[in-house]
Amino acid sequence: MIVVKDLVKTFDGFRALDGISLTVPTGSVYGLVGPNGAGKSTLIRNILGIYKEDGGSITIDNIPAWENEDVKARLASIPDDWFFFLNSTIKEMKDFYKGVYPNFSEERYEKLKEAFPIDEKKQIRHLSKGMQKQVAFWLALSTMPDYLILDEPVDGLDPVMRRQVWSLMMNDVAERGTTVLVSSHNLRELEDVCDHVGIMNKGKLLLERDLSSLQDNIIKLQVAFEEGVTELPEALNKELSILHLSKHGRVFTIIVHHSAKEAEEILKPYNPILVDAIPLTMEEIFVYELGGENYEVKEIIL
Amino acid sequence: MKSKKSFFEKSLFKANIKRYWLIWTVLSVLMCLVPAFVFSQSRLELAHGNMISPKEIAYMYKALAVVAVPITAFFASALVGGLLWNYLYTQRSVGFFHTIPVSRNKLFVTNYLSGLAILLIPYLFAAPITMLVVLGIGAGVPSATFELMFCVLCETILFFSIATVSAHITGNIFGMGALYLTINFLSTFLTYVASRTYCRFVLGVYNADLVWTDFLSPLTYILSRVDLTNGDSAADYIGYYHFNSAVKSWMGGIGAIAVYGIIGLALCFLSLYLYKKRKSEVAGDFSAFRILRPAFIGLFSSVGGLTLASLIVSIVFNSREEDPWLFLVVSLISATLAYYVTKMIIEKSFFVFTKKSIKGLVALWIIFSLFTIAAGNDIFKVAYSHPALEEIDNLSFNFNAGYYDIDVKENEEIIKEFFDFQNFLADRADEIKERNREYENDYYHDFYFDIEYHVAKQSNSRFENRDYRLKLFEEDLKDPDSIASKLLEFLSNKELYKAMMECGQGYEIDSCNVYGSFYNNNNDYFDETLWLTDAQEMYDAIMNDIEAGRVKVSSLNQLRISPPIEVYFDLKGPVSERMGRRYTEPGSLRIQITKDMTESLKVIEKYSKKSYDELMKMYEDHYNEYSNEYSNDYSVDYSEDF
Repeated sequence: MIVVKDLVKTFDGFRALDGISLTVPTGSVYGLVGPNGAGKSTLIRNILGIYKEDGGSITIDNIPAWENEDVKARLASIPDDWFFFLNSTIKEMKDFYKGVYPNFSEERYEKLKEAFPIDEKKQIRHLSKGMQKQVAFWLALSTMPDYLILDEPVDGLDPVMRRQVWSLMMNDVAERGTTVLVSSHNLRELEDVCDHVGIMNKGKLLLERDLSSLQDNIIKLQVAFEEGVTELPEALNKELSILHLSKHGRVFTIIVHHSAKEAEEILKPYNPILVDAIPLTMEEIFVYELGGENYEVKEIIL
Repeated sequence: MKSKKSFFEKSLFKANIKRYWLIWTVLSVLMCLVPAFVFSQSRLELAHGNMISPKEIAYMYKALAVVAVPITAFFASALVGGLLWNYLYTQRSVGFFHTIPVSRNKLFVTNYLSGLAILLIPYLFAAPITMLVVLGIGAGVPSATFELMFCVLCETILFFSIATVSAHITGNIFGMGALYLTINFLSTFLTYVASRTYCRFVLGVYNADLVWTDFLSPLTYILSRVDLTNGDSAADYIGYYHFNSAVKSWMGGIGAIAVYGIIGLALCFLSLYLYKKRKSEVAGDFSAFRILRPAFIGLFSSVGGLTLASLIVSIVFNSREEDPWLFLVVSLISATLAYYVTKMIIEKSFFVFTKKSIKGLVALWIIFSLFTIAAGNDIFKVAYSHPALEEIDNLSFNFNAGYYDIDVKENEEIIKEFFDFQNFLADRADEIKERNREYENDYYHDFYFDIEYHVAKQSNSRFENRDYRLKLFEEDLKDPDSIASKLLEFLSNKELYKAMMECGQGYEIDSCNVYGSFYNNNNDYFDETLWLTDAQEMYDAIMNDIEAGRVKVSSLNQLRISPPIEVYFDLKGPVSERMGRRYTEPGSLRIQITKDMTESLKVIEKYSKKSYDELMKMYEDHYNEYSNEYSNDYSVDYSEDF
């Protein structure tokens, strides 16, 4: 389990992480989402031990992560911009990984050749960006990690390879109980794999929940009232925790922070003639949740 | 589970050696030129019927240790340091290395040892090959081998540690390079810019000796101050010279190398400390520590501003003594320019002209102002400075376009008189400078008086010069306290001439000749018929003239031009040993002959069969036949003065 508690990180006076706390349960696939500049990469770098926090703590299985070789031996990461030794071949990088990661599995490495059909004698710098990413996965998975930390992992991969990679990771989660923390803007993909979500903005965590209860607790309501009701009753405005409100004709579309049952109970006294609760996609949750944080889509006429 | 106590990561070490194979391969090939050179030299010597001795090999090793090795280590360390520590300079690479399960301690130690290995591997190739060649030519394996190995290790550790500490204080490759050069040449800057700028305002001094700050620049110190072939030991100094001299002697040899090696190790530990304090996010910034940014800005803008001001003043105002106020104005402008350019480079922005920046600029102006005021008033009294008597081995001074050596041990009183004369000129500095300014373009009344102190007991002779340009007029001689009168009095001291005639310890007269010399005429007339078989007779005659007080300078003309008749002695010097071979040091002595030197003229007449007037006529005719256009500008009547 990764536990981040009241983490603070500043850069030249700018507070990139502002007392953020989150928990990544063991064996879960945790999707970390947020707008650009929210602090996702900074948080990941703190967890990996690249940055030293200015306040708060980070523990992995109750062990402080900073400068801990044993903890790091169980972590593998694939950053958005992966580093390799200049002029090194895949095999040479593999040899290096094998030397520093105590749990590196040669057997797994050989098996993964099928999934990543790249000649290991080739120099990595001569490969395309997508193929370099594949090599990064290949090596990271070969280290038999307990924790996989990914920052925009499938960026640059073709659709087939994306599925391949996700499939391999989910296999690891299922068979070995690997914990995955993934940061991505591709919410449609995350929705298929994540079971936990954390939404960040401006260095803080807006919400953190398992995906099913998140989707249960934010819904889209389409509501219509009897003729003559042109505006949403004010009392209803106050009772419902509204994220977004729009109207087409007599139908109100309301995004609320309630379960379907709760919302129906609240609406009942107002005698709506139509109440339809529709679950939201993760992308919609992201957009509407951040809309409440003043990060909404703006109508700009050029 | 890995051992927590280990400070070494084998995989990383192997990866580093493999990655940078090209560097140690090229260095190995270059270093193998040494045995190739030894072999080719031995063949050459053999062709001339000589064999290279173990002593010569020892000298070669010692010379390599203080010339080739430090230069190689300096450049190679910059390259290897820049490559190995480059991972600290981008987010991508620093992120990678701090993610892998290797602690920062291990990363540092492994990378440091990798760097040393890359730098030392070439010696592992070159050394055995050299030894084989040396054994093959029968020169044995001298003990200097161990001295060389010790120097290789210490100097490699030193320069690589300087590169390492530079890499850890800065955040990008430009910063590292700038700091590496600064650390290595700070003393050179202090000597050649700061002290020369200071001395610009000091009469007669161009470069005050900053011996102990030389030590701050290891490369220049080792190249210029350290000599392992010098047979002196610190024990030579105990009881006779100061303790300082003993220390200085040791620091002129293997002691300096040992101290630098220890400093290298200390810098290594400092680098480790800095690495652990350093934040990964500074990758790409000039300074890795925000607190040091003002220090960098101050340092580089001071160096740049002072250098620029010195250049401007040298090129635009080409005079030997400068006006402090003029220099102050130029230096403040240069400092301002250097300050903002430095800020732009370090902060990576053009927008540096802020209110906040004025504080730093004002501080810089204050420093430059204080420096100029201090230099203009010579608060360190550099004009009166000279080496201590016990440190001086020999003194040279110019007189009538010739240089004369005076042995200090035999002539301590004469040397003290030089000190007194130097102090006298320092006391009259304002008057001399004022006159030089007033008659700047009057070259006819220029007289140059130069003193050179040889401080040779400190491995690799060091010279401290005092060069005076004096404007002297005939009317000055009416005043017995004038500079002109005092100079003529100084140069008429018979003890001075006796000291000049001694030539130097261990020298003997070999032969001599008389010849004619004309001022500003390259065509000296050398009359072979006047080659004297009895040089001792000539020498004794001159000494008699000196003793009788007939050798003196009585007019400024005698300083302006050489007398037409000179006696030239070839000297045989003491036997010295260089590179294991014995050499007889050659030497020479010139002494001008004037018409008052009656004893000397008798000897010349005896051998030339010509009177003084006849010789004068002969030389003048020769001069007229071969004179060039320049000499006509300075025609003088010799008979008046000589």
